[in-house]
Amino acid sequence: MKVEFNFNYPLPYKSKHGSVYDLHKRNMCADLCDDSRKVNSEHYSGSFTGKEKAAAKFSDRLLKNLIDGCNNHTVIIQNLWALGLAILPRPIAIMLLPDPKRKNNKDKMAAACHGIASGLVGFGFASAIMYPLGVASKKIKDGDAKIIQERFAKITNEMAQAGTITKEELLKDTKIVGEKFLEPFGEFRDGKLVKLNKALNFDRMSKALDMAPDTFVFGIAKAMLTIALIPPIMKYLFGEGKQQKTEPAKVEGGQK
Amino acid sequence: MNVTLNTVNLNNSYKYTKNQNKRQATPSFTSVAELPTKSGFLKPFDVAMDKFTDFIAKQYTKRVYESPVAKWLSRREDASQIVNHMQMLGSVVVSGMYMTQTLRNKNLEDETKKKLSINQAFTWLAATAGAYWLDDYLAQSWDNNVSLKYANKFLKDNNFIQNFKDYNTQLENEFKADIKNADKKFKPATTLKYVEKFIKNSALESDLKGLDVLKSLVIFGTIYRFISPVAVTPIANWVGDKFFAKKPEKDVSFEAKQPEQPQKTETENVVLERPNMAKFAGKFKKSA
Repeated sequence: MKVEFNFNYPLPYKSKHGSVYDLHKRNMCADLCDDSRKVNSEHYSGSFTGKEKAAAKFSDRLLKNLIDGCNNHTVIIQNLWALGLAILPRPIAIMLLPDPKRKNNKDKMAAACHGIASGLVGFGFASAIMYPLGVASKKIKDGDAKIIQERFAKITNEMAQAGTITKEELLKDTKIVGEKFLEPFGEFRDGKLVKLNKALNFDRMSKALDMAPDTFVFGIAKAMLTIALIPPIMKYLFGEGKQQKTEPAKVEGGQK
Repeated sequence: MNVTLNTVNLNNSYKYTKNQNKRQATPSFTSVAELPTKSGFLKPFDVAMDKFTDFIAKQYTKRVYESPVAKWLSRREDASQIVNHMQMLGSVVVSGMYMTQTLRNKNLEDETKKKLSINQAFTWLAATAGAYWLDDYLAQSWDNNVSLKYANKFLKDNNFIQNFKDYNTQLENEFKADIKNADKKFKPATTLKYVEKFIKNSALESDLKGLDVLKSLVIFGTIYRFISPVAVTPIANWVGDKFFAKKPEKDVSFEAKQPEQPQKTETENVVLERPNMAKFAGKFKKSA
């Protein structure tokens, strides 16, 4: 007797993610792409419309990055928004202003270039100088400040009034900050906590301190650079040669 | 006798493909160390940047956080508006600089200087008042349309919005029951306050704070960097005409040039009608 096993069976039609019988799997084909290492990218057949995973993930990540940026690199996001406005809408709006006799055309050009220059300078400054400062303050906020905030969150008013909590206990395991860092959180007497500061909003306080250099120190430098940048931009955009450079900008009297 | 066992049937192949899929999904071999996903090419730069930011954190950020300014800020109760205040202060610095520049300008008469700087100060005042008003005006709808929806999506809780609204109606009823508040307007609690009070999710709280910052940045940025300069340009032009028009060399308007060129070619006509194409006008002049 000869028994023959038909091993060489023709498999049913195999789709990109499993056979046609794996209907439940086919529905999840975009799900599989959660982990890019598991699924070959050339097999990806997910849709980028509706609420499919890939598109939804991209927009989520964009929003997440934007919010993180607002929290940690406020100045950069601020200047990014300003740059977006200054590159297109602002020059267009200025050039479209009614001016029937075309008397002030050059002044308008200068004003538009002033906007573009200020946007570029602001964003350049923010990215080059404020980024490392933002990273540095994030190191303190995510490290030492977080530890201390968690410790203070557990302390009640009664515990504080008892006066048993020392500065050393609160500063344990911290790397960078010193004793003075604790002062905004409450009142101390002889190295011991006496009273909690209820009004403290640490995030906002640190935000003000993070934004301060851009606001006060670099504001003047940025304005100088902006005025210096107007003639080259004017030349590049409108092909204007020598002319009175800064005076229209000074007269403008607007912001930045 | 020849017996053929034909094992190809739907059940078998289903199992076979299923197993194959499983095998594909969970590879039998995984590397010993994790596969590097980041290029090592920029590693020296990353290390240097890390050291540099450490240095800044120790030498600068730490000192700022421990300064008396930080202590003063920590006692302030309008901390939620701090981003607005910082942007307002930034515009004070810039406007102040323009004003001092105008006042130092030797080409202008004293009276003109004063008028110009008052004009600049007025512009700043109007823009700031407008920005604060708009921020206050949009706060409620931003909270309802952005923050609340974001929190709902973050928590994936179907009852969240209803709970939040119930809490607000409860607050409103309490507010109205109080006789002292007869003339005042009720201000509902924000999503952030609700989350801080009842849910206590630190990641969500920081995200909501970030959304508030975004709102402030967009509103103040739009007013200070877009609406105010655009609105001021015609006024500035008018002022400029009035005070600078006496000097003949600065009269560069296209109208003034027209009488000098009685015979115009077609191309020049186009250029004059569309002064943005002055670039080409320069070329034509050279060739002529």
